[in-house]
Amino acid sequence: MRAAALMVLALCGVVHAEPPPARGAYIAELLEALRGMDRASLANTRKYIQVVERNKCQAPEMTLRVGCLLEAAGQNCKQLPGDARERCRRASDVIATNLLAERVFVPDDVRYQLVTRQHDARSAIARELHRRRAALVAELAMSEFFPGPRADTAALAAGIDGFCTDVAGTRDLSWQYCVAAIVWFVASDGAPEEAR
Amino acid sequence: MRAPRRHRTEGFGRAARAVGARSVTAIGLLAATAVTMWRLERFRPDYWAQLSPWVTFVAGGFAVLAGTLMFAYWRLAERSHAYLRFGEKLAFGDETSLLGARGYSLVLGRASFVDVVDLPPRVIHALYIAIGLGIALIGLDNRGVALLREVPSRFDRSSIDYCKPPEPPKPETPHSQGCKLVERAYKLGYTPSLGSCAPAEARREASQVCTRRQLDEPYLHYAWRRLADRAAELATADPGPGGLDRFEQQLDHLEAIVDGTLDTVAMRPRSSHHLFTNLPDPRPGLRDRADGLLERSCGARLAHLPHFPRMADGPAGPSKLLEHVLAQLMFNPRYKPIVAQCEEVIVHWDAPPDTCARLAAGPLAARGALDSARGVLDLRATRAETRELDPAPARARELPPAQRIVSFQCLMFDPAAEPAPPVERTLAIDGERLAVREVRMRPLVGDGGSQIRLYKQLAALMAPGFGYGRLTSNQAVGAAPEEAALADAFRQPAFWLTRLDLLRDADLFLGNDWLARRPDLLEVYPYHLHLQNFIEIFRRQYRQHEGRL
Repeated sequence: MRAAALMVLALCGVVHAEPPPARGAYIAELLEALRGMDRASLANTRKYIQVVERNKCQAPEMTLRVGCLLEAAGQNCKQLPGDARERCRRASDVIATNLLAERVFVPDDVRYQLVTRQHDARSAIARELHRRRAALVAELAMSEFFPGPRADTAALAAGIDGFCTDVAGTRDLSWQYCVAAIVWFVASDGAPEEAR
Repeated sequence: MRAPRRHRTEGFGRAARAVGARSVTAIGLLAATAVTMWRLERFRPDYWAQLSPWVTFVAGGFAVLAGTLMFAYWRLAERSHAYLRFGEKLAFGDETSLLGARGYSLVLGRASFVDVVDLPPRVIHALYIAIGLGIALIGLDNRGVALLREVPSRFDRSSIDYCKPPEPPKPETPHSQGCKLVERAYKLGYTPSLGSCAPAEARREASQVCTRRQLDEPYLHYAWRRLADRAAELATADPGPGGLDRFEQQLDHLEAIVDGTLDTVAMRPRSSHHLFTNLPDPRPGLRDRADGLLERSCGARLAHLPHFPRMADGPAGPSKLLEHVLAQLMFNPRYKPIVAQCEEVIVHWDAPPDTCARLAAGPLAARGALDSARGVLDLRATRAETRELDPAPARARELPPAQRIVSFQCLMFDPAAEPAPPVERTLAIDGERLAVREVRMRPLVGDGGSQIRLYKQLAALMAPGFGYGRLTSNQAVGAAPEEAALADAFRQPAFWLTRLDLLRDADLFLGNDWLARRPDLLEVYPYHLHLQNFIEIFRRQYRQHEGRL
C-alpha cells in the first residue's frame, strides 16, 4: 500500500520544480483560467474528472484518491497546447478539489436525508452543494475581506485568500476547500450545476 | 421642568439650580443597563446575527409596556421633589452632603425654592422604554423565547399527566396451521401449555394501576386523592425512618444542609485543579485581572478560538500561548466531552521552578492554592454528609475521590530540560493524599513545533497515561507516504489546491518535522482534522482521572 502511494506521488509530480506560487496570485490565476476557458471545454474537463473520481480513483485512503486524481487531471491536460494546457491544469485543480470537498460540504448525514426524501437524489445533493457554496460566498461578501464589487481579480483573489485563511483557522473547513468553492462559484457567476 | 418664577427670586436674588432626581435616576438606570448589556456581550454583532426576530419582538413589546407602566404609575411626568446638585450645602433647607471636597460637594436635597431642572416627560418616557428594552434583551434569548412559546402546550392536556384511555381489544389474529396442531395437542394432553399459540388475552400481563389523573376526573378530586395518598404514605410504617425521624435527622445536620444549599446557589467551584508555571503573568494589568474575575463563563468566548495562532511577540507571548493551549485542551466547547470549567482550573504564574518539590515537602508552599483546594474538599465533605440523609439509594451514591477533584501540576520551562515523562509526587491535605505532577520542557519559541510540543507535554501532564500515536491519529495508517515523499510532492506548483489534501496524512502531532520548514504550508494546514482528534482523545483520558463533584 505504501509503495503504491509513493509510486502515485512520484508519478503525479510535474517535471519542473519551481517554488509554489504566492497564494493570492495563484487564486487569481485560477479565476482567470476558469473565466478564460470556453464553456464546452470546462464542462468536458469537469465531466472527465468527475467520472474518473467516481470510478477509477475510488480508494479508501485519501492519499491514493488524491494521487489518482492528480495523475488523471495531469494526463487530461497534457495533450493541450501552451496556454490552454495551463488553463486546463488550473481549472482541473479547482474541479478536483471541489469533488474532494463534496463530502465536507454535504456530510453523510445530510446526504442520507436527501437520498431518503428526494426522488432525484443526485440533483438534490447538487442543489444542496450549490446552496452551501453560495452561503460561503455570501459570507465572504459580508466579511471585511471583500474588496468590493468593482475590485479587480487580484484584489478579489487576495480577499478570498484572507477570508479562507480566517475560516480555516477558526472553523472545520480546509483552506483549499473554501478557496475552490468560492473560485468556482465566482467564476461561474453563481450559476447552478444544471445551467453550466 | 423649572421651578415657578416666584421660587427663583424669593429672597435670595438668584435661586440655586439642581438636576431632578427622576432625571438622574433614569439616566443612571439606563447607563447601568447599557453597562450590563455590554458585560453580557449583548452588543456583539454575532449575537445579534443569531438572534431570532421573536426575541426583538417580545423585548420590544415588553419594553413599551413596562416603560409606559413605570412612567405612568411612578408619576414620572411630574417635577422631581428631590434633586442633586454640586455646590455648597445650604445652611438651611433639607439637604444632605454626599461627596465633598474644599467646601463644594454633591448635595441631595428637597428644598422647595431650588430651581430643579428635569428632562422633558417624553424623554423620560423614552428612557424608561429603553431601560425596559435593555432588561428584556438581558433576560431574553432565543432559548427563553422558545420556552415562552412552549408555555401554552405545557398547560395543554397531555398523556403525561393523565392516564391513557383503555386500549381497544385487539382483533383476534387467525391461528396458523401450526397453532391448530399445538391446540389439538394441548387438548389431548400431549403438551402442558399452548406456548406462543396461547390467546392474546391470556398472555397480556397485568398492567400497573394508573394513579395519575383520570380523563374524566375533576381537578379537586384528583388533588384530594394526591393529598390523601401523601398523608397515607407518611403514616405508613416502612423499614426506614419515619417522616418525623427524618426531620429530626435533618435538624441535626442543618448546618451541612444550609451550607450545601448555599454552595449550590452560589455556584461554588466543584473542583480545584492547579497548574503552576514559571512563565510570567500574561495579564499583569488591573483591568485585565478585573475582567478575568468578572467573567463567569468562558464557553462562548472560547468556542471561537483560532486553531493554531502564532505565538505573540514579547515576554508575554509564551504565557498567552500556554493559556491558549490549556483553553483548547480543557475548555473549548467545540470539542467533546466537556471536562472542566474555566474558573476551576487555576494557573499560577511566576511560580518558583521547584514549586512541586516544595508542595510535596509541605503544603504551605502554596497557601493560595490550598485555600481553594480546601474549599472543594469541604464541599465534598458537606455533600457526603447531606447525601447520607437522602433516603433514595440512587442519590446516596459514592462521591468522587478527592484525587479526582483536586490536583496540582507544574509545567516548568527550563533551557536544560530533556524530554521525559511527568514526575509524580504526593501531597497530603486534611488526610487526603493528592497527586503532584511535574513536567519540565524547553522554552517556547515562535515556530509551530513549540506549540505542538506544548500540546503534548501539557496533555501528558494533565491526563496521566495519555498517549497519542499512529493508531489513534486521523492520519492514514496503511497508505501514508513517507515524510520525504510528501515533502517532495509540495515542491511542485501544479495542482496546488488538490495537493493540499495530502496534508491530512501529515499529522503534526506525530512528527512531520519537514512541515516546520514550510511556513507557507503551515498557514493552510488542516489543523482542525488533527487538533480535534488530539483534544478529544486527551479529554477522554482526562475524564478517567480528573473531574468535578
